[in-house]
Amino acid sequence: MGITINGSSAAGNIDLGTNGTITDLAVGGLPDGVVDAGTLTAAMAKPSFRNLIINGEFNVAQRSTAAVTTSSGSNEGYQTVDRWQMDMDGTTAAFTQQQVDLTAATDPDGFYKAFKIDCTTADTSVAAGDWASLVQNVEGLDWAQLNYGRSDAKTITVSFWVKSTKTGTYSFSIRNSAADRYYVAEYTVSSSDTWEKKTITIAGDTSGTWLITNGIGARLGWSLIIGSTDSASAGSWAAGNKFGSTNQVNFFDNTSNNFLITGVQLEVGSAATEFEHKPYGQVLAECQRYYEAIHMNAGTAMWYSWAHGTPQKMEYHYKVTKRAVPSSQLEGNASWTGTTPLSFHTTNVAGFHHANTGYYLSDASGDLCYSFSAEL
Amino acid sequence: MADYKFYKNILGTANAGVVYKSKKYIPLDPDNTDYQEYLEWVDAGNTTEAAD
Repeated sequence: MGITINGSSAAGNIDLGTNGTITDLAVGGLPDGVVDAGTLTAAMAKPSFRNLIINGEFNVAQRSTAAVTTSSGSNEGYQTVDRWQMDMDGTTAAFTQQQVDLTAATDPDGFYKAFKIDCTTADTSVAAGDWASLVQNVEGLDWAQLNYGRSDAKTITVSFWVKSTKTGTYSFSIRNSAADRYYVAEYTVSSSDTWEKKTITIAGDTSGTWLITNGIGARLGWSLIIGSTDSASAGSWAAGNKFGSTNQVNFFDNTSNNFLITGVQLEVGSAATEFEHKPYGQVLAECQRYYEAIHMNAGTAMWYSWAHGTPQKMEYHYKVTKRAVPSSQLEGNASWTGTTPLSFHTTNVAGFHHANTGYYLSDASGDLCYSFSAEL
Repeated sequence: MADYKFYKNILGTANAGVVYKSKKYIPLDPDNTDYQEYLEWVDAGNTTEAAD
């Protein structure tokens, strides 16, 4: 027997049918006005926190929003946007890396930041050992859900928006922490200087050792140039350390080339869902597990020490517990006044200490003055 | 002067970490990637400066 809760009009009715469905819901985003198994399946297909990439929108840039000139051996690693680093070796190319604004109607809908790589010194001849990649290392504690290295390893799908003036074949790679297992996939930039959405589906790796700790669960790389030493054919898991396709274009063959990327998502399953936009503060906190920046206004001071007996001490409690005990350092033109204390840290507290002299931190300019890094 | 120099714990009884180029304080934590780089530097035959 069905139960009908009648409103004053037919459109207000809620009918509980004999088969357990709720019908006559003509509003509220339900495509057919019926709450049933199909409705629930559609909702469950896009679970929250499904993106294993942190800062896939490139919104968070604690270190710098300015362009940073990078070349092999100079300003590699983490320089601008959080959780993303530029790694390279061999190539003589140079480029700037920077977080940029997306304001045009032709930009991907819903995204207002991207990561831009702009070639400033060309390398027209790719040597065997040349390579450069945009990299995000995913922590093992997050990668663990994919069951890599087991017979039930899960299929994943990577999706992202890309715009490059250099068309042709590019490559994406996944490697394990020990860099003895790899998968190389190709994607094509078809039109110059035009945003294109790319989707890559990869079956899980049933072999190898994949960390499920706070170490590197997976090394993800977007290649821009790669020589014969480190490249391989695309499309299958294999033993070894390769991170680009043999068909990879040389993005750095001309100083007019630039490459932009945003909306990076990696999720379980064989289909790409729409990008999961999260609150800025949520993503910032996710980034702070790996890096925490301390900023100070120009001409001010903070972190004054206090005396406990003779020793002078100061403590700072991080916003987020760190992945590992972090390194720390002064940044920019910040300096200690009085004396330079020693630093003693744990994963959630930084302690500073000097045997007898007081100190405080000062900065002549309003910018980044101190940092704690537990990056992968 | 070596790139890396030890610094001692508050009691002065043991090394607590290394300082890289008088700027970056690196803990003796095997999960810290800066410490992992330091160990590679040591494996390459380099010598760390003793703590004060």
